[in-house]
Amino acid sequence: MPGGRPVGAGDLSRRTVLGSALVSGAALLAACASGTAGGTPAPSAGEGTGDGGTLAAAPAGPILLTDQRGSVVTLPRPARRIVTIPQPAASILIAVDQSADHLVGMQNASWVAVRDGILGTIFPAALDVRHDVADDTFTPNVEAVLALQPDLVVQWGDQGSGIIAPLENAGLTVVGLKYGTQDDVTTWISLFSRALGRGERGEMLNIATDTAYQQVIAVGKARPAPKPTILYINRFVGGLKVAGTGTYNDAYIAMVGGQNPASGPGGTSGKGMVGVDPEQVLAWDPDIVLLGNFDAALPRDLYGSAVWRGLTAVKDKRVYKVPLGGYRWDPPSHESPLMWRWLSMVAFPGQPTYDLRGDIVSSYGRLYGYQPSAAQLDSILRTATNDGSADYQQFHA
Amino acid sequence: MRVAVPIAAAALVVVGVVSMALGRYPVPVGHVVEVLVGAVTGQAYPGAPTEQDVVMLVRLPRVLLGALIGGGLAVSGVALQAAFRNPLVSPQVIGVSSGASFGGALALVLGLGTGYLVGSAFVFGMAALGVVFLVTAGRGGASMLMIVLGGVVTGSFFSALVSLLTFLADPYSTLPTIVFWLLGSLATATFGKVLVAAVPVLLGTAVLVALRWRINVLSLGDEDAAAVGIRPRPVRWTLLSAVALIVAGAVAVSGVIGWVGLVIPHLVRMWVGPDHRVLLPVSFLVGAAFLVTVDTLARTVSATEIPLGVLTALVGAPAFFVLLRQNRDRIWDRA
Repeated sequence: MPGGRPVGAGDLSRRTVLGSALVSGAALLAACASGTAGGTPAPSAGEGTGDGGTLAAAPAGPILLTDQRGSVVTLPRPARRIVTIPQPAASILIAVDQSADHLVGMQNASWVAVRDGILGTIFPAALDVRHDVADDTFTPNVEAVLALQPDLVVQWGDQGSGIIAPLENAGLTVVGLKYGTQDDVTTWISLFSRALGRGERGEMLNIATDTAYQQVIAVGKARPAPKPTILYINRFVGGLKVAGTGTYNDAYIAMVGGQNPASGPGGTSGKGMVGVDPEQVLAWDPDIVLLGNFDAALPRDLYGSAVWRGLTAVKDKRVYKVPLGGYRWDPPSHESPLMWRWLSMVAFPGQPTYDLRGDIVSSYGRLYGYQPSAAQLDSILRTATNDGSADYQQFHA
Repeated sequence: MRVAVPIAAAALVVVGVVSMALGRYPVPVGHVVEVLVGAVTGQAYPGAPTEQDVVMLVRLPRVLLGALIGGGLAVSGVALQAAFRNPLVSPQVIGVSSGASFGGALALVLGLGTGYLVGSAFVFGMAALGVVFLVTAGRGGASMLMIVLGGVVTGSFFSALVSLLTFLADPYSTLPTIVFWLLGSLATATFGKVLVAAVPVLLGTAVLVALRWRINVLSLGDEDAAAVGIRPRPVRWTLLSAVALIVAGAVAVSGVIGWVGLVIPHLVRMWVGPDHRVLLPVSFLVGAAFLVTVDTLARTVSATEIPLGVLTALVGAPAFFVLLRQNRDRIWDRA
C-alpha cells in the first residue's frame, strides 16, 4: 500500500489480536457451557426403582414445607437428590428413606458416623456419598453443593444467615433446622419424610418415638431424691468440653431423672458445650460420667489416670462411652429413644430393667428393615469398651 | 541492680504458691501448704486424697508449665529484641511461634512421637526466622518496619498452613489436638509435658544467659561489636537458634501464647535497665510469674476456662500500643 507500513510476520495489529481473543474467548465459553450441561453426574441408578421401602402413592402436586425458621419451601415433586449439612441429618434421612439412594452429599462428621457405626454395613452405598460439602463450622462449599445438583439442601437455620443465605442465593431449595430439644427431632423427621413424599412413614416413626418419650418422662419423674449427677463430656483429649445448659444432653439427663452438674446451681452459665478445666470437674464430682462419640476417649483413660482417681465416678467405675448405632447416641437423632433407655439403665440399674437388645432389634427393623446380629449389638452397645464399668453385664445377651 | 534477681525470684515463688492455693476446687490455704510440705519431706498427707491430687496433679504441673513457658517466651523476647535491635519484636511478632506451631501440627498429623514434635517445631521455627532474615537482609541493617512486616508475613503464612492442616486432619483423633494449638492453653498440663518443655526451654535459656555479655555488645551494632572483637554473625545465629529451641519447646506443649515475649522485656527493662547480664535472668523470672498469674485467672475466674491468649492479649495489646506510640519517631525515621 502506498505510504503504509510493510506488514511483517510478527507485526500483528492490535485490532487483529483483540478480534481473535474475543472469538476464541466466545468459543471457549460456548464449549464450557455445553460441557457443563453434558457432564452432569448421572442420577443414581436407584432413583425410582431401588428405593429400600415401598413408595406410597405420592401426592401429585407440589410439596409445601415450613422449615424451622418459619420459611415456606416448595418442592415441585418429592426430593430425590438431597444434601445434608447438620451432622445428625444424614443418618435420619437414611432411616426415614430406608436407603441412601436419595442422599447425594453430607457433612464429614455424618460420614464418619456412618463409617464407624452400623449404617455403613446396612447401607454400603452411603459410604460412597460425597462428604466434603461443608466444613466443621457448617459453612457450605456452595459450588461443591451445586455440582451435586440437589433438589433439596438441609442446613442449620439457627446459626445465622451466613451459612444459609449463600445456598439460597445460589438458587437452591433449603430447609433450615433448629437444634436443642426432642420436639426438634420430631419436626426434622416429619420434614424429611414429607420432602421424600413419604409423610406417613414419618408419622409412624414419630408416634413410636413419642410413646417411648412419654414412658421415659413418667419413670423419670417418679424417681426419688437424691438425683444422681451425670456429666456428659463432649471432648476429653486436648481440652475438656462438657455439656452445659441448653444442650440435648442436658435435656435427656434431666429426663431420665438425673442432674447435670454443669447446668443449674453451681454449674456454668455457659450454654452449649463449654470448656472447663479438670479441677472444675473434680469440684462437681459427678456420680456418672458419659464420654461422647466426638473423640477417641475411653473409660480406661480416666480409670488409669492419677488426676481422676478421686472422682466418685471413677471410684465407683461409672464412666461409660456412649453407644454408636446408626448414628451417635449422644446428640439428637432418630435413635434417641434407645439412648434414653440406655441411660436410664446405666443410671438406675434394675429400676427397671429393659430389654434394650430387643428394643434395638425391633427399632432397627422399623427404621432400616434390618436385623442386627448379636455381635453387632455388642459393637453398638460398646460392651468391649464398657465392660470394665459397673453394671454393664445387663447389656449382654 | 543485681538485687533485682533475688527479688524477682522471691516474687515468682510467692506467685507460684498463691496460684497453687487458688482454683475451682476449694482447698483451704493451710491444706495446700501441708500438701506441698508433705511432698518435699515425704510425709503422707492426712487429709482428703482429692485435695492432694488437685494440688499436686492438677495445679502443680500447670504452674510449673506456666512458669517455664512464661519465662522462656520472655527471655526469647529479650534475645530477639537484641538480635534485631528493635523493640517491637517478639517470638509471636516475628513469626517464630507460628512456624513452630506448624512444625508441631505437622508432626501430629503425621502421627510422630513427642521427640519429633519438638524437633519439627524447632526446624520450622528456625525456618521462620530464616525467612524474616532473608526479607530484612542487606544494605546496612533492617528498618524496624521491614522486620515487623517480615514477621507478620511469615507468621500469617505459617498460621495459614496450620489451618490447612486442621482441614486435612482426621476430625476424630488429630484435629482436636491441633485446634487447641491455635488458641494456646495450659489446660492439659501434665508432668510429662513439663518435662518436654523443660529440656528445650532451660537449655535455650542457659545458652542465652551464657551469651549475656556478648548480647550486650551486640546491641551496640555490628560494626562496634566487631571492633570490640565479637563476631556478630555467629553470635546472632546462636542466639536465634536458642530462641527457636525455647519457642519450639513452649509451643509443643501449649500452643501459641502471644504478647508475653513482647511486653515483659520492656517492663523489666524499665525496672533494671538494658544490661543483659541482669535483664535476661530477671525477664525469665518476671515472665514466669506473669504467665502463672494470668493462667490462674484464666482457670479460676469462672467455671468456664477463659482462653489464655485472650487474657494475654488484653494485657499485651494496650501495652504494645503504648510502645508503638513511644517509638513512632524512630519507626518513621528509619522506615
